[in-house]
Amino acid sequence: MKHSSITQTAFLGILFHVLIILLILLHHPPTPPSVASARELTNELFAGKDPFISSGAPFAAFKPFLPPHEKVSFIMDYPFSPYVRHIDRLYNAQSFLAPTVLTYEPDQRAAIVYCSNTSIAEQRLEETGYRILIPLGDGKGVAVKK
Amino acid sequence: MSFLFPLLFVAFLGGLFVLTITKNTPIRIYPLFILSLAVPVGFSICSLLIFSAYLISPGQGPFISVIAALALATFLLVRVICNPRDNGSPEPTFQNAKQKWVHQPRLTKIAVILCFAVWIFALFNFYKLFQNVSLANIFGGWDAHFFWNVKAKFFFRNPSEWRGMFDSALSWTHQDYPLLIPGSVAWGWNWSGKELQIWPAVVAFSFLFSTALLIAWYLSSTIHATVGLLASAFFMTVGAYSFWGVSQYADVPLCFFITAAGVVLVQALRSKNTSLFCLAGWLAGCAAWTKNEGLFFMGWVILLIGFLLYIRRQKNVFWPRNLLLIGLGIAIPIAAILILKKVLAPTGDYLGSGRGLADYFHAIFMDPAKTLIILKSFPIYMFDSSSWNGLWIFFLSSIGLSLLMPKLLKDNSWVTAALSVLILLGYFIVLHTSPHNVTWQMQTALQRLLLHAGGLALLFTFEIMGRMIFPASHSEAEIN
Repeated sequence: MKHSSITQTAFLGILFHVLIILLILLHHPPTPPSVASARELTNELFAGKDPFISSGAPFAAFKPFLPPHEKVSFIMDYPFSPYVRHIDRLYNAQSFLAPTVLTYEPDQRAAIVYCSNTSIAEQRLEETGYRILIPLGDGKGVAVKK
Repeated sequence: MSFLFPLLFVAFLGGLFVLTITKNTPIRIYPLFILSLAVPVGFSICSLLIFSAYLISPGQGPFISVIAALALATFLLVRVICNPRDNGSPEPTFQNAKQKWVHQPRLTKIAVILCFAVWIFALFNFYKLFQNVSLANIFGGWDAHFFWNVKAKFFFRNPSEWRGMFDSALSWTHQDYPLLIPGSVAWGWNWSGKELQIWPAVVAFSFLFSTALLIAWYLSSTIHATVGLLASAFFMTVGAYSFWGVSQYADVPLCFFITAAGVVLVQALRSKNTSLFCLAGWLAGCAAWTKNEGLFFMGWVILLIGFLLYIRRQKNVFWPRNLLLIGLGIAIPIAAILILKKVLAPTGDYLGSGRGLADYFHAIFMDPAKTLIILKSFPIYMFDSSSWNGLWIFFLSSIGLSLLMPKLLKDNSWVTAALSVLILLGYFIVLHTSPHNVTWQMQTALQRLLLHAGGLALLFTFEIMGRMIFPASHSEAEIN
């Protein structure tokens, strides 16, 4: 390359890097969600504590009543589909109850019933052929096959 | 800080592994090279050890994996101590570095200090963002919460029932997905004996930070420290990386392994050092052990390097050996993937889906409406400035510039661009074969797919732009 072309090229390169510096300095990271007592929470996490409650925590009540080493069905308001309302309940339950495997098909001996209210639960129990064994609240409980 | 010990051990093990492979290799700024690879490579080893230990004896899996890791670390440490590094050049010392710094022109010193200040500024912003978003949602995004960490719970909670994670009932957890992330999360939990809430976030941050360090190392060693620092700082401002990184998705670790394999390959081609081919193979294998997309990358690497070594066979008589060394590096991760996909979880979205070649041919070539949607989506997602900060525009401009000035493409620097383009081309084809609705697939996956090739694209961009300012940057001859 000739001397003049090197200078022009270098100028272009410097311009690029100045632009990058500006982009970095002017970059506003997306406003983080406001977190109350961030320092305390960080300290607790760093100390190995677990200050956050898992979204699967409501399923702790079911745990003692589930048969060990067996799959368990999960009965919701509607039959399973990835797009059905409240499907996150199944995902939360699985995340909380692993290594128990939950199936969305009503094909296991025992089932977790997790419906929005008792009348829906009764209807779903009728459809799937289960009966409540351990009631755990409005529309919720551990059921067994009839 | 109960998470510190498992993390330090991972870094120690990974660092020793890289040190052992590359001990006779001429690599500039060697400590930064080791530092950038140590944690991710350590995680890859630990996750493979966990997988192997659980296969051999599920009940004793955690114990065996820790003992095996300790034994491996001891073995590597003895090797490193007994066979000190000898690459034919004097060992870099603090005194040498100080001497070199003193003799730099004043302008260069000021530029380096300024760029370092910019890097610190970017790192501070990046850490604050990571901290705040993590505190708002420590469990991570959907993938992290509902399948990567669920798999880790199968490893941790009852090792003798770990195979439950492959049960077909858990279809949303993609039973055949590779296990680097779950294994890495389980490693920290097994070590500390509890499900530390901070650990998955620590794993995610480690991969992001290691990628920033890798970028800084490669460009500092190839072009100049100022370019390395600015590129690394720029990476930390790219919204797509911080968003998916803090969400604990596997796409950032995959980006790390793809980028690392790419740059180590470039170094291997420059120095013709056989150890580096082996390390590049390991890193490419780890990409496949992180996510299925890594398998495609591995295929591209083998094809590209096989082709390169073949056409240059007159200059390099050992080309089959180098290709074999890449294969050797890939062998262990790929063996784990084969066991996973063929034995433990033989059904998946692609492999074992029951679709034949004719189905795939039809999906790729006979659906122009789908092709049009995919073609239109790429620029929409690539040129979204809030996500990429202009990265893909800079990348395309650099390709254009390098075509106008081919001298900028010296020393195999085009390999990073070629791999980046090949990755995108591969995704363009694969998106045709997705069993899901194409629009939904683009909305949920395309930005994450772009992450994989983004690291290499960023390196190429800064290498080309950097060469304009520093045309006499470290050449192949100098490395040798």
